[in-house]
Amino acid sequence: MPNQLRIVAIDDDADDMLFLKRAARRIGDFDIELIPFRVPDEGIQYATTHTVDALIVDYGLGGTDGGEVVSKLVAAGVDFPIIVLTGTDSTELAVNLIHRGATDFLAKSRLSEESLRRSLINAIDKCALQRQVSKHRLEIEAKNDELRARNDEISRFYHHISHELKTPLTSAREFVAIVLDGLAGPLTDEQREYLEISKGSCDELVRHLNDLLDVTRLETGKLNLRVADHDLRAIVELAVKTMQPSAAKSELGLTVSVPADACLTSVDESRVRQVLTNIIGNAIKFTDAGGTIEVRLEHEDSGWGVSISDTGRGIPEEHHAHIFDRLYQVADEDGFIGGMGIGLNLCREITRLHGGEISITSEVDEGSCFTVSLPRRERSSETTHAA
Amino acid sequence: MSKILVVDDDSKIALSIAVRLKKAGHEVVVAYDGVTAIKKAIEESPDLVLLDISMPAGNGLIVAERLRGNVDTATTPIVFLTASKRHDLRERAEAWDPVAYLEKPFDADDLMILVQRALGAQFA
Repeated sequence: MPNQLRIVAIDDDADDMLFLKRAARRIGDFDIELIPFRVPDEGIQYATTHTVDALIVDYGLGGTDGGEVVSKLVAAGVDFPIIVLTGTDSTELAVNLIHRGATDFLAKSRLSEESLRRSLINAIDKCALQRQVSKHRLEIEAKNDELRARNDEISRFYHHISHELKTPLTSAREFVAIVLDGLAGPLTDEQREYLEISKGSCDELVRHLNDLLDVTRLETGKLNLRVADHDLRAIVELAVKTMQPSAAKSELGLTVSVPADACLTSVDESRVRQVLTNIIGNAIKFTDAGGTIEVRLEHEDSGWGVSISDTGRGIPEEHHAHIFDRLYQVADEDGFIGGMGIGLNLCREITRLHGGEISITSEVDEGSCFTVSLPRRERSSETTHAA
Repeated sequence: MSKILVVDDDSKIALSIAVRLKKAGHEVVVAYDGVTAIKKAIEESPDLVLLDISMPAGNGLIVAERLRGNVDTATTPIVFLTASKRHDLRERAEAWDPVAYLEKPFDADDLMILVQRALGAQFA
């Protein structure tokens, strides 16, 4: 019903009730429907099961007090304003009532039709505003849930599509390899050269797709580490060995140095190797022929640091703070952007999953040095550690 | 010359493995699904089974269970082919006493070495 307010009044005093009925017959443009209750629980029962615009309760009720009524209503989750009529003009009591959830209080000594109306209007306005705010909050939360679901959906889509692309790519690469291995007859040098290029491109694509798959795994919290105790020296040396052919092809020196003693810690061997080969791969990509790349495993305060330094073109300082952020890309002076902006982000996230950190120092035209710090952690047996 | 059963639902991958094995002088039987794999394993009595774990409709684990449950194939060596990220499947596969696991995508040389080792272990 438009322009009608339903107000519940709980008061065991007949005179008070008469006053309320008279005072609250009509307020501004609103017709008031006052529903009186002498017994507090009946009033609470009604107010919590009907649409009510406001409730007025006398503080000095026989047996129970108005404060308890307020508490019960608040506990029931009502969203209409509650006004308490008090016999005394005590600030302490007023504060107590507001704390319990009352919207306003009126001392009976100063009660007039005018003050009651004003209080009701204020209280109803205030509640309408609160309702609106909480409605907006619910809408924002719903929108947020929706966006999160959408984001998950996109992640799943990328995951799916990467998988779908990888399957045919794997067989394409495999049959090129079969021909290259001479299993389909002898090859001329020229044929071999072209097929090597083709196979190299397949490998590159597989690496990109694997990175994409890892990004979606990270997003959905499904990048799991399979940690076991390892000697970091072996991992570092294998990573360098894997990248040696690529460095040689680019006419770069790639050296490795490790401590004489075992560097035992608990890591996911293949993931750490992935981080190192990724960074070494970048160093190879951004260092001109004749340069050198040094990989060094060293003791640090609380673990080990693997530093990969190159004599490449370097990275301007303004990029250092963001270089490990997802989708961050550094364009060269010609505006050319290499890569998808996920490789270094993956390196950082994988390092962090290990409880480590990754850092960069670099100077333009001097070279870059990336350091992967891993804490000393040992486990007696192999475990699968969920990210 | 040995007879090898290759089971993979990706027919191209199965074919690529078959090509390499044939060129190395083996007799190769191929199956693209679990049901056919079980049927061929029993009919052909292979010396070795290369078995993809993750296949739809009768995945590799079910195939392995059936092979172990059949008198003729109870001791046939099995090499599981696994997607490297599925550690859970790999742990469950352990129950069927495989000779080895080969993580996809695998290096052709690793495949051939593993096959030789698996066949050698059987005849040793």
